[in-house]
Amino acid sequence: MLSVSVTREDRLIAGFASLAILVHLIEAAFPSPLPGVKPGLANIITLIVFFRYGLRMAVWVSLLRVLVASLLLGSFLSPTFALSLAGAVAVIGILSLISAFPSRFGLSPLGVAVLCALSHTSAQFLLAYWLLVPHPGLLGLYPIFMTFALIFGFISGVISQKVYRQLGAA
Amino acid sequence: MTTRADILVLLFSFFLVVSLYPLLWQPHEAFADTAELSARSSKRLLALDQDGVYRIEGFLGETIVEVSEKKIRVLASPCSNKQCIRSGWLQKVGEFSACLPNGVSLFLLGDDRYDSINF
Repeated sequence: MLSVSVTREDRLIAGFASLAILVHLIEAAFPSPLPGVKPGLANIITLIVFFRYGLRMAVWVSLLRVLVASLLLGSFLSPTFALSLAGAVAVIGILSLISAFPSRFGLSPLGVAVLCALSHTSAQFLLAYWLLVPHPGLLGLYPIFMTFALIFGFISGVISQKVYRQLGAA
Repeated sequence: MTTRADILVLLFSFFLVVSLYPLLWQPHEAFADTAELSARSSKRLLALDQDGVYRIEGFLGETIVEVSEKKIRVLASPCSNKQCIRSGWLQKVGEFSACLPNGVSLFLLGDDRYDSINF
């Protein structure tokens, strides 16, 4: 019989990923004032995992969330999925960069959240411009999206910081 | 627990976002490289980097257009109200001039590929 050994890390990844998927799904149910503008609260989970357990687990949680949430919402392999994945990849890029520096550049979850939100939005925008709507008029929306990214990044950063402080280091 | 690095990131992000507005909210000007000149059944593309005077036959007679310094205008038209001539010089993508009585139109094209894909 085939048996798969499950480590403690696997269980943690599964738990945090399902938490992130849940947040993602709840958020998807809310109407947005502007298509594409979303608070991105699921990234709070990614950030907390990043700060408590490091980059490797954060990458797992973030990619699992994008995959499973798209399967549940029926957007797997659609443009929405591509945008979602682009955002996640950008965030992973930023997190890798930060974790390459000693003591994470001295950043707390707040600073990291803002950086993640801005790079997430930028990556999505770049992909949308390149793939979906290559019209110069689209660039006019970029400042607006970035403004929302800054605001929501700040809010989710404050939440991440508070939650992380409550949980303490793993 | 907010660190000095956080404050720096916040300040930097704020100025970045604010500076995006003047940067991207300027009217963008895409200059055309080709003009499509059509009349009745004929249609021809004129390259704007080659100066010249072109003639095309319409319902009433001959319309004459002029290309000069990457701009194009209707020079003469046999119509009565001369709206096409009053459009003046055209040079940006999407600009057009038309003479309805003579059935002649001028439309400026650029290098935009397509404006959307529908899924």
